Amino acid sequence: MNLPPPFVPGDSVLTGVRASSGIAIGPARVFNHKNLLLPDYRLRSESLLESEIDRLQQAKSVVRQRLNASREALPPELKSQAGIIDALLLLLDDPVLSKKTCSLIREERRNAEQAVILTLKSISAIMENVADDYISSRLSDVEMVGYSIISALVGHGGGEMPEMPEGSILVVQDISPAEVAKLASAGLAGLATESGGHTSHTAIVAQALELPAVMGVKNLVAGVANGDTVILDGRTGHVIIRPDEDTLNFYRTRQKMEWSFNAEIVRSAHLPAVTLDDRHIEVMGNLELVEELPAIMSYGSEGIGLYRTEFMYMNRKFLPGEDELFAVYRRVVESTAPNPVIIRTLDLGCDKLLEESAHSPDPNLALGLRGIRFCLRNRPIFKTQIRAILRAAHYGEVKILLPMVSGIEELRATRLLVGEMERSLELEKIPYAPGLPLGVMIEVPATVFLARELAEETAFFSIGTNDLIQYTLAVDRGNPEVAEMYQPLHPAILRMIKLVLDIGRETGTYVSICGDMAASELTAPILIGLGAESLSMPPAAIPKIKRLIRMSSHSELRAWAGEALLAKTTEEASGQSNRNLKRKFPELFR
Amino acid sequence: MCVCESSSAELTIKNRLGLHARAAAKLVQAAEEYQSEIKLLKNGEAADVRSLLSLISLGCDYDSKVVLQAEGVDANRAVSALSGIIEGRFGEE
Repeated sequence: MNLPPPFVPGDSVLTGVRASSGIAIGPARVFNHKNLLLPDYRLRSESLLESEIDRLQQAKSVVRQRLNASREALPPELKSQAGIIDALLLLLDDPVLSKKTCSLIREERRNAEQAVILTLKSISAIMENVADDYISSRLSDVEMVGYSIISALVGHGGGEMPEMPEGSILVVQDISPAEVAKLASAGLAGLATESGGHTSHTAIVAQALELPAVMGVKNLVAGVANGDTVILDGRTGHVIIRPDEDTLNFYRTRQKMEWSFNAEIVRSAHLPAVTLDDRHIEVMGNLELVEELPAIMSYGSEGIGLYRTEFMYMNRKFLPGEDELFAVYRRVVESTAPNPVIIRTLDLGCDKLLEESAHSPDPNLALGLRGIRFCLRNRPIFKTQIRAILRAAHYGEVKILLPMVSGIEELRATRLLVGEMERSLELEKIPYAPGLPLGVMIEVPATVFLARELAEETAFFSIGTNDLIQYTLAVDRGNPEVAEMYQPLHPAILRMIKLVLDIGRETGTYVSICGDMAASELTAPILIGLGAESLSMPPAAIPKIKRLIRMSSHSELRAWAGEALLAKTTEEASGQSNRNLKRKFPELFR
Repeated sequence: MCVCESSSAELTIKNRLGLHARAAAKLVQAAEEYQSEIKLLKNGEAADVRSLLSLISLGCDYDSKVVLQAEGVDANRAVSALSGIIEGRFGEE
């Protein structure tokens, strides 16, 4: 039924976006509805028409049951996806569509599979023209429903769609985060998709579940056949299809090494991050989804250094309410206690918020209305979030972190707002924690040079290296023309970080570093050498960074950082640093 | 014998996001309560209120002028209920 196109040898290695690290090797399960060869015939006798309609109705009721079941099975964190399933259910029973499909059967005497295919084609034509991003982007979901009906009609598998034997690698055009969560718990080994990127929600879920994934792979689905052996390397973004024996052995060895290395570092992850010369470095986790909490706990994190709160505002139709936010924040705070949680307030611009995208996408959002600017301009949204944070802080230690601050005014305005929310909660007799520490993200270069003044009015700093690099070097990492100019070890960046760390120490202001630099074995040692005492990183990076710290001596890292600070060029700085690392840790940097 | 009513109302879409999928779904669900045939018209184009797809295909954004039309035994009640939903901005801002 599912005939693959001929395999082209030159296409055996495809490259995509590194969405979630790890190596997976297994048989491919290709879900490629476009290539289904479906029965195509005309119904000869009148008597067959009604039984064909019955067959269609039965298939639809199978799909309806599955949709209802997957709606029920959504974990609480992904309930926001339920709206999509509701829309799919309505589309499944849409009278206009049903009428069209039925008339294709009754009048043109098409078999049910073809009737559904033809109807889908007409929907696609209509929906592609609808000026509603939500709907036109949901086209793939609608096709999913259509092909679910067809799958039920032709009866293959009869079970889940796609049916996934344990240890296999799913190869698809696109897949929802909810579906990935479900498949991963059923033993999926890896995921390769044509659409999506590192920051898509599906990628974030894959990272949270430590499922190797490569996304945005062009010409993927057409090049892989069901059952093909596929190697997926989430660290390089390679998908190797039908590898030869040598390649396979190479990757099997790599995978084994990775597993045993991971097992070893994870085993030792609970040990504190103390250098050989007895300096303790605080290592905390970055959190985006509640699903990541268990990993953060088991990796011996000393708290949550960056809780990104955007997820609950995206991919949905309505703003989350105070109680909904509170329930999730409280869960995070209680799970992390007695360690602290640094909650970063909403760092979105209009483009990612709910459905606003259809309105005025900001072509230059990095410099536009986002982060604290957006929140101060949209007070009701901000107030709701602040109240939810204050309430959650009743259950553990919480600090509030403000993103995209460019001046002291924004800090002051927020402080007033927090005070106002404290008073309103007081009046309503709702439990909350007063006087939470208010901190500032150091990511807009202006704040580096205002650090001394900011330190007088703020409780702590968190250096967001990703944006600090982007703004300081004027490089958009997403733009392939300049992406290689994005250099964490640029001398200007090192000096700015040093400046903030120094001012932090002089003024007694707590400074944590939370960008990618903190999570990389190539750059974290330099940060520590520059004086960083607290790093926050994605959960998966915690064990290896803690291990690196335990193998290092602080005085040596300080000497390396001193050298790097004197470098005039990025090449000099990174050259020295890499040489030092290789010499000191030959087993880590081969 | 059929006590056929016929009723219509001119309305403006006032929620910021227009007649998007979830909003349209509310109309579809409300329409299930009535027996009348109910249509939503925009620029002379008619959509069956019982079809989510045909509603969103109208492409009604903020400030679109639409006409709600019903014919049948409960046309008056249907139009007033569904008008209420549209005028209430589908419960959105």
